[in-house]
Amino acid sequence: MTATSYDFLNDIPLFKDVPQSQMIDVLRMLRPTTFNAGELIFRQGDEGRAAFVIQSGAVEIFLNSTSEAIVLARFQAGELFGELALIDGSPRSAGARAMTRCEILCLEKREFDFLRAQHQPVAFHLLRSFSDELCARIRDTNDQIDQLLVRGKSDQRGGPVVTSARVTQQDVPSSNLFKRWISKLSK
Amino acid sequence: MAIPNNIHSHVMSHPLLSSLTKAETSIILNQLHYQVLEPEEYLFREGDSGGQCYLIVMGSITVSKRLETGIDQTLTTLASGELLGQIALIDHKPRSATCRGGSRGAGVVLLDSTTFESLYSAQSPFAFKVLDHIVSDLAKRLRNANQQLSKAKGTSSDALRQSLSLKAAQVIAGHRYTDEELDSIEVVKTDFEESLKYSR
Repeated sequence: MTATSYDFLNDIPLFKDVPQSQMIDVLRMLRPTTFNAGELIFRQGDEGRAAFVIQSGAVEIFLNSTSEAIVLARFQAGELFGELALIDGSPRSAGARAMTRCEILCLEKREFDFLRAQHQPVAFHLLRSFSDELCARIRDTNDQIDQLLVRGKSDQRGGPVVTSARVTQQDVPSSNLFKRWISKLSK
Repeated sequence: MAIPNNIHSHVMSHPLLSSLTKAETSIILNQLHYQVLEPEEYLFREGDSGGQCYLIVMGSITVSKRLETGIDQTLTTLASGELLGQIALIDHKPRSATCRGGSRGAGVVLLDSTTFESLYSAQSPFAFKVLDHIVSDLAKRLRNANQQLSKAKGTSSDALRQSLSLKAAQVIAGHRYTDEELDSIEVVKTDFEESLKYSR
């Protein structure tokens, strides 16, 4: 990998806690790839072998439906997606597709698992970043549950469950939230 | 208070602590505190500021949420061996549920965020195990809760929506449903897809 991509790592939130001296271990886990506009990155149901960090371009996360794909989230440069499968090895709960030509860094599960099993410092820092991300997502899911639960009867039809903009691959589909989220994204 | 001597070995037999070296064990034991709860006694309430997580070593803890009707909805009862309050340990935000001592009360080991941060900075094996456990556990809760939430949003039945939302809340609170139990309510797919169209 070039010096340029190394510098880029410092700006990615996932690697914010990683000291400079451990960046070499981060590089070992990363495999740079390119996807063309429209190309599938992974399918719903695929085995999760990596998490992804977008270096350039845009990605959409979608659910398959009989008629059309339902877009759950969109991600751009610097953002992380697909990390749940990296953490727990479960199958992909949604698909991912490149919306434009994308340069993407794959964080390989096999390499991460190795460093994690050995309690390597870099795995420590990544787990910390993942815990921050997961807590934010759980709070968001909790807010959505509260809207349905605490208020009693819901006054509107549901739609795809949508996460906050910083969030990644989404397991599930919501309506007002979805629109609000999309408008937030387009600002 | 400090962890009582007579339960040291019991505490140290927990999977998060059992494989630590002697030196680490003594460091950890000195930094953890112990708290006894009577039945129904509050550990913390929904909305409280939180910077600790708790390992249940005796008895049980009941997790509940206050509904708008003013009723406390019990979400789950966590048994000895379970970790609770880990989200606030990580993000320092207010508690999303209320925790009380169960029917026979509880004994909990408390890990506060200052201790956790210093153990994390020192790259303590204990901090690594706690973090690894939290990440794996939260990933699973998120996945399962979102699955239920998705179905809740996909149904036009108010009763079903309530039941699925409650299930999602229970999953987040740490209730351990089996995969079978999670799949037991199948929202009719066409109903779900119909609802998705409304959202577009």
